[in-house]
Amino acid sequence: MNYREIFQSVGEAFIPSGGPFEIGGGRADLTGQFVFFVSSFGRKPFFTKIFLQFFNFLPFILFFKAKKFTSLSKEEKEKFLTKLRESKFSILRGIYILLRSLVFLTFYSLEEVCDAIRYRTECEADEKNL
Amino acid sequence: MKKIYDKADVVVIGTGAGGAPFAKEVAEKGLKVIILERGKDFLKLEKGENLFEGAVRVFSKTNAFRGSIVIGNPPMVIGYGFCTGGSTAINAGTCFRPPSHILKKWREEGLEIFTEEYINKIAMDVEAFLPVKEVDEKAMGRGGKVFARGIKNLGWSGGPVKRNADGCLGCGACVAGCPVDAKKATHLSYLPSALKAGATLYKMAKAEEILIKNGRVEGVNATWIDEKGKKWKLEIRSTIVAVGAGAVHTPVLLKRSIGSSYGVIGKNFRLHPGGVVGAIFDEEIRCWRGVPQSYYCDEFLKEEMILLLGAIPPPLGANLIPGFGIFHKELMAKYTGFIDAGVLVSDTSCGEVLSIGKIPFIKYKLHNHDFIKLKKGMNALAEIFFSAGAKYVFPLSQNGFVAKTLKEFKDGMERLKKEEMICGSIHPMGTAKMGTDPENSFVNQFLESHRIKGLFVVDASVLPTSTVVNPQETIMILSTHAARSFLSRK
Repeated sequence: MNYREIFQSVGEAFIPSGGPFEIGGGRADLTGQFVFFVSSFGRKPFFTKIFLQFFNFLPFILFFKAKKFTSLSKEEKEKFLTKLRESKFSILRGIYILLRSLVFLTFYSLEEVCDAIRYRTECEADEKNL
Repeated sequence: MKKIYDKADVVVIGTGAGGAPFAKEVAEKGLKVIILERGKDFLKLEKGENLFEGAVRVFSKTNAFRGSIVIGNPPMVIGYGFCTGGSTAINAGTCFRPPSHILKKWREEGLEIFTEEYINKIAMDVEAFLPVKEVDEKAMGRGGKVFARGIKNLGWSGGPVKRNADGCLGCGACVAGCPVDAKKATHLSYLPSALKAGATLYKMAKAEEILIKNGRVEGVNATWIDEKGKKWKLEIRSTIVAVGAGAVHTPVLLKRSIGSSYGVIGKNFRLHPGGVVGAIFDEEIRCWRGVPQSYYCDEFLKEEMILLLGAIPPPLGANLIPGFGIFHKELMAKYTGFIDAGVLVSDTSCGEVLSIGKIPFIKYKLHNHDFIKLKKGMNALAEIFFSAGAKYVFPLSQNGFVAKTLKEFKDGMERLKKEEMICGSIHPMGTAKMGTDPENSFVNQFLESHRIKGLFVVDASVLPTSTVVNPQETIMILSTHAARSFLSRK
C-alpha cells in the first residue's frame, strides 16, 4: 500500500466526513497539500513515507492485531488512536501528536476547508480587515 | 575556496536585537564596522496574498525560522529567527522594558549599573528610535477587545501591548513579514542606520571562529556565500568583536573559539517556557484580524508570569483543540469565535546548550516549581476567557480536554502531568551570562568578556535571569548600553 492511501486513511480517522461540514480527511487531497509544503522547502517527503508505512503496521506491533491500520474498521481506528493518545509511553503519544499535526496542518490549510470554516486569509493590510 | 582579507575597528556577528543596535551605535561614531549575518534577507507578504501560503513562501525562501531540539522533560522545541533582523523579523513586535523587580535582582547580584533610571534613559532612546507605541484600538482587532473585557471583568491589571510597529494596519501578518513594513524589526531600523553610517554587511556569512591571542580578540574567520552563490573564506582583523548570534548559537561559537575550558559558556540556559490556552466564543472574533499579540495581563508579574493574547491560523489552531473526530470538527467549524493566549513563566529551571559538531542541541528539565507556575498561569488564562464569556476552554497538552466551566478546567489541569505538557519557547537566554564573578559568568556589566579583551556578547545570552516579559527591548537596551559604555571608555 502506498503512503498516499495510508495518509488518506489516517486523515479520515482523524477528520471523518460529515458533521458540520461535509469534506473529511479521507476525501481531501491531503497528500498533494503535504507534498506542496515539503517541496516548497526544497525537500522530498522521504521520512514521512517511511513513518506512514511504519505507522500502518503499528496495530500489529503494539497490540498484536493481525491487521494493518488501513484494514481496521472505523470504530477500531478510533479506539486505536485513542489508545495512542492516552498511552503511558511518551513515544506513543509522540507518534499520535506527530501524525495528528501532519493531518491537521495539511487539512486546515486547504482552500475548500478554509471556506467551510469561514477563515478568510487574504492579507489586504487595509482597514477593511478590521 | 578563495580567501578575502578585510580589516575593521569592530566586527558584529548577527543582525538581530543584539547585533544591530551595537552596530548602529559604533558605526555612527565613525568606527569602521563589518557586520556578519548568517541568514538571508527576510521577505514580506504581498498585499492581498493568502496569509498561510504567503508564510510558506516567505519561510521556505528565507529559511528564516529555525528550531533546536530540547532534550528533557517535557520534550520541547525552541524557535528563533535566522535571517537579517534575527528573531525581530519573525516576532509580533512586542516591546516591554525589563520589569523593576528583575533589575533589582540583577543589582543584588552585583550588576550595580542597572538602576531603573539608567535603563529607562536608554529605553527612551530605543523607543523613540524605533518608535515604540501602544497598539491603538483600530489595529487591536476583536480578539484584543475580548481579552481586555475578561481582564476588566476580573478587576485584574493589563493593557494594550507596546510594539515597534507605528502605522500598523492590523492585518495580522506580523510574524510572516509585515506587508507594509510597519513593524520595524532591526533589518528595517537599526541595520539600515548602521549601513547609512558606513558599516559593511556580509549576508550569508557564517562566523566560524573568533580569533583570540594572548587574551585579546584579533578578528573573525568566516565563510561567506556571495550573491552569485560563490563561497569565500573571510578573514577579518579587528580588536573588537561583538557577538549577537542568539543564546543558542552564541555559546556554540564561543566554545568553538575558546574551547571548553571556560566552563560557564552554554550553561544557565533559560528558555522562558510558555503554556497556551485556547477558547471558543459564540461571538464572531476572527482572531486573525488585528495585531496578533495586542493585549497583556500583568496581574501576576510579581509572581514572575505574564499573560499575553495570541492569534494562530486554523492549521495551527486545530492542533491546540484537543482530540479528533466529529467533536473536534464541530469546534473547528466555530473558528471565527476562536482565540488563544499564552503564559510566559520566568523559569528557575536551568539547562545547557551543547553541540554535536556545529549543530546545537539543548538539555533542559522543567522544575516542578516552574511547572506549578505554568499551570497557575494557564488557570488564570481560563479564568479570563470564561469571564469574557467563552463557551469552551482548553489547554495545549498531549492528552488535552475541553472544559465548559472554570472548575472543569482547573480539575483537568490538576490531573495534568508534567510529561504531558506541550511547552514551547521562542525566548532562549542566559548562556553567556553577565555577572561580577569570572568563575560563574562570562561577561561583566559592560557586556565584555571577563577574560578576553575586546570580546563582547550583546544578545540574550548575557541575561543573568529570565526577564518574565518578552526580551526583545531588553536586549536592544543592553546592546545599546554595551556600545555606549565601550565608546565612552575608548
